[in-house]
Amino acid sequence: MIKVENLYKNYDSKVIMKDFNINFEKNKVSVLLGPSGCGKSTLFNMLSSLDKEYRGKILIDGKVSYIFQEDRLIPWLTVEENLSLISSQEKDINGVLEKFHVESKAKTLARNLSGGEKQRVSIARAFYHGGEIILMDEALRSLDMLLKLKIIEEISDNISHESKTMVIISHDIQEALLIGDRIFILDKDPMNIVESYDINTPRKNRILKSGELLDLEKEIYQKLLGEKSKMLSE
Amino acid sequence: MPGKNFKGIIFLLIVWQGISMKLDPLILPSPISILNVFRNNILTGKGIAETCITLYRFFMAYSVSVSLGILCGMLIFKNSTVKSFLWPFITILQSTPVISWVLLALLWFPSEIIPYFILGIFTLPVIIINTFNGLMSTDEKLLEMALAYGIEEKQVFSKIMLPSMLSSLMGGIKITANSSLKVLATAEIIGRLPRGIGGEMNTAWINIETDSLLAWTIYLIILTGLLEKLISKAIKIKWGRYL
Repeated sequence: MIKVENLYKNYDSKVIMKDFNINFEKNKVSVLLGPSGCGKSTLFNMLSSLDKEYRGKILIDGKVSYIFQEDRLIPWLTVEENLSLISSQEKDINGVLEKFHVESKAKTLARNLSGGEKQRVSIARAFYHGGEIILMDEALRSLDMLLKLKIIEEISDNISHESKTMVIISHDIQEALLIGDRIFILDKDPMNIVESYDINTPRKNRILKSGELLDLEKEIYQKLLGEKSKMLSE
Repeated sequence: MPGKNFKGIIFLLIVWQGISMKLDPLILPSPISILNVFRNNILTGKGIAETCITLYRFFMAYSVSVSLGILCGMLIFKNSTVKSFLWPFITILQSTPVISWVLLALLWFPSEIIPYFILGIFTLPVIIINTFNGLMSTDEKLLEMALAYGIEEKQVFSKIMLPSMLSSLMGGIKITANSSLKVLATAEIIGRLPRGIGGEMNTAWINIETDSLLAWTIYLIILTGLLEKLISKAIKIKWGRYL
């Protein structure tokens, strides 16, 4: 669970967040959709304690595992070494790699992986880290649709079995609808929640062509487009 | 282009032979007479013996300078006070011409010490600066990842920062290793050391044996090339994954 209360953040004279409140529930995947530069990544940096210069309260009940926008693997270490570096305990590395379909790359140097493989290893690293909170910043964008669906399935299994809280930043409405339990539409200057949607359809039954989700997709699209055209007119 | 190089060498030797036939052998000996001296040096074992002495001096001085350079580079990276104290010395070391150090060394030290001192003065600043720059170039995003995942500081240093530094450091090692042997031979000559390649060049010069002087020069060129290749190969084997 993550509880954010009255968050204030500025970069010099630019106010990024002002009295910002948001809650992310346990066992759920929350998705943040919003325009670039609205402060989503800044929020993640605050949640993961990389950025401590803010006012307000952040309550987090557990260890945070952060999947960055870029893979951030250590290029001269093998996949296995990249994972073992983040945990002092002996854990099943191969098991985690298998879940994300990169077990055959365990002994490969990270620099020799393809873009998609690197991204999958970085997701596997977060699950290997074992944090109760998982933050994922646009980490699925470089994957093809089929692999994306497989990874989404794996992630959702992990979230429900291991009672984790997951927050995802995405720019892809379809991806948000496939993976999210709750979708937050954000706006900028300062960051605020425009709307939030709960998706109650079980994740495995979510086919985007189904009427209910298609309607929701259109609604979210309209909402985001509305925010965008408002921004452009300003 | 080995074929092109070979043709170039043959052309050079022909021109050299032609000019040497017109001049006194004391001014420019023929390539054949140099080859004879070269062959004699190899057959009598003199070449190997003097090379071993020079290489011994080289590895002793070079390994100490590189180790000290890495240590100082790390120290100035870790501690800004140390940096503010050491940086002026490093700048002086780097900007003062080697010949000035050689002349000062002649006044300060016994001749046996001069090659070690000169090699140290030549190598140390390059290694310190390359170590420091390498550490400074560590990818901020990897350090941020390490912080987010709570990787121990010791591991951050050994698995992220040291390997990040290696590429820059190896550049420094290649540059200095290539020139150091020539600098060492120069120091042996000026220090008038009786043994080593520089010592033999000095003896040849005193006795006006131009063919011997040139034979040792060619010997030094070949040795420098071999040493550079050896060091590059060793670096690739030992640290290739980091480069």
